[in-house]
Amino acid sequence: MSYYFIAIGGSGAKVLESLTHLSAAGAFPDEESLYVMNIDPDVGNGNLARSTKSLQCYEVFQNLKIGHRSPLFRTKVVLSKPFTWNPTEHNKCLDDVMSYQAYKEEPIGHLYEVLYTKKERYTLLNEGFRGHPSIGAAVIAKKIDMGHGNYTLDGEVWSWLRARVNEDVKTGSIAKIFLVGSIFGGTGAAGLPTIAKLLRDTFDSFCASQKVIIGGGMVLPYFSFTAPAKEEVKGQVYAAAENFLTNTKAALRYYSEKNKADKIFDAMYFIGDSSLGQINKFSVGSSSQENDAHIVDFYVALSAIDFYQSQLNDIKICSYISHSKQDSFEWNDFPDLNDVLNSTSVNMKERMGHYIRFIMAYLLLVKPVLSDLAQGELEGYKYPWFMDYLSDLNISVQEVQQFEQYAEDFVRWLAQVTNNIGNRQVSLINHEIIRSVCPADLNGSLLDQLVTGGEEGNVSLHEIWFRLCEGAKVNADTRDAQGFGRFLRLLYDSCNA
Amino acid sequence: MNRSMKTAVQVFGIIVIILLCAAIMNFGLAKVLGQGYIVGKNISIKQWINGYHAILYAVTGVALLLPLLWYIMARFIFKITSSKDVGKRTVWSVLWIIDIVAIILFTWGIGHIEKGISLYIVHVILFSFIGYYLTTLLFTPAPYKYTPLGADKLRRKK
Repeated sequence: MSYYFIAIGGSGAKVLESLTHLSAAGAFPDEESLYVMNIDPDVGNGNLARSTKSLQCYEVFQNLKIGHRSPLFRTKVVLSKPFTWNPTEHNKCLDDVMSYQAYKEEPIGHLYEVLYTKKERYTLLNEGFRGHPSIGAAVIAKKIDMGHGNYTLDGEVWSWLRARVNEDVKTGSIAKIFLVGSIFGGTGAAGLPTIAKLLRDTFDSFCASQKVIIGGGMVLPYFSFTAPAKEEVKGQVYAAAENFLTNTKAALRYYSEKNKADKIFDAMYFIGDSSLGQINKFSVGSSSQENDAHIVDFYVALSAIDFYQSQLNDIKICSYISHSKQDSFEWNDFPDLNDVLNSTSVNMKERMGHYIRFIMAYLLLVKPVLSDLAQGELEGYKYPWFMDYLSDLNISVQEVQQFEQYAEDFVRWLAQVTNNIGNRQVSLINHEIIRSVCPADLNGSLLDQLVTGGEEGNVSLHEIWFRLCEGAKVNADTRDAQGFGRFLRLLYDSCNA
Repeated sequence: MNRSMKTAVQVFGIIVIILLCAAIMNFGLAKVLGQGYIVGKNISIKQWINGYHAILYAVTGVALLLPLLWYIMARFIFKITSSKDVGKRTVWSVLWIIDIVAIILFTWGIGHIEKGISLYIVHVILFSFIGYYLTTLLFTPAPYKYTPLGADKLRRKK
């Protein structure tokens, strides 16, 4: 089995961030690689930058030698090259992409003028499709049009994908491809059905023999924002929150009819929120489009994992999930994870709680002192774990820096995902433990109350320190662990509740 | 070995080492030293030994109390809440100084028997260097295992 994840647009990028953290936490069912690619015309968008940063950090430290049979960093993430496929070119507007000048005197040109406003036609697409799927659909269709009614996914990144999938099938493996995007915005709404259809056509025979399975995570509206003052965005095309529900209704009808007539997806997951959280910062795109992570992103990432871990005969065309209490999200709302390696089903609270504690313990106990210890500015006797596991090593600065950067990003993400939405509580962790983020300021004395929902599943900071200092016996699973990875494995194991 | 078992073994180890030191004094060394102190005095070695027992009990008590106190603090009382409040070498050193001073004071103050400089030296070596330093060196709980001076040379994992 191989897993492929294609993030489309800003919402796809946000889900990718959640998926990165889930894969680092060992939420994937086995040790198979996760191949990731991204589609976005707005290559500078802030959500994408954030996801890419986490992924790149993960790419570096997933090579750490932590031993075997641990969920930690179990999934090897491989990024496509190039990572982002941009269906537009730099500084091009819709007229340029559609070669309007060549057709303006012809009937097709006139039809085009009727379908698109001048603002839509003249706006540069560097910042994406700005919530207008009609622009995105035209651009993507044009980009993949090889003429004579032939459409194909061409280019370096698609060759990369085709080669990987072909290799999987050749070796008897099954390729599960999951696409994620919003269906109420611009890029996702335009790209999801188009790309999925093209993938199905490309791997037609493989799909028929169930060697390639295609799933989709459709993000429904879960946020809203106040439109900016008219003079602020004069002459610009931008996403309008008041259109989200109308767009969604149309898209859902499309998916319902299209998937019946012409099967595109083997499995679809629709995830949204009836309570639309308010976004205070309006942005048309680019680096300023950096929205906070949301519980919906987390759910969509979990839907990808559900897709990957489902047996072929268990895959449903359409999946629904709900939460037990209308006014709160709790750990038991999440589905269990399959751990194929250990032939068990793992509770979400247990797996994520363990990982959250690991990251927080690192930030509380190790990060504040590690560089001073390495430089000899602190006395080593105070830190037995350093003396036993790190003092004799030439610790790679890059590994440590990337891990610390990742840990900071994780806490920021966690704070955002667990942020209460309006009157609804996200009761996953004790919110008081995170005083501030970037850099993280954590209240270590509350670590034994970190994971909510019962006394079990928590460990105090003191206990983690004690275990760290006791060290671990070398066994078959840890014999190959080395360097900083060996230490992280010890820390991770020390955080087990 | 789980942590509770390890605690029991370590406490037992501390007690055994110190009682061994006391036994060495009681059954051999005191007699050897005492011979020197009774020369020219109007007392027998048996009388001297009887008087010395009071000193030995007190010194053994102190020698047991302080390493056990350090052990209990390191194992149960000190709680790590941040990466800065660790080590506690000052506490360990102060306890050792108290141990040395108490052993000297008890050797000097209890019992009206003849004493010489060598008894102080032997008591400090046996009950302080072996009784406190060696036992804390060997048996300090993991979070402070390198706090006793030189412990990193002895207990460090390879």
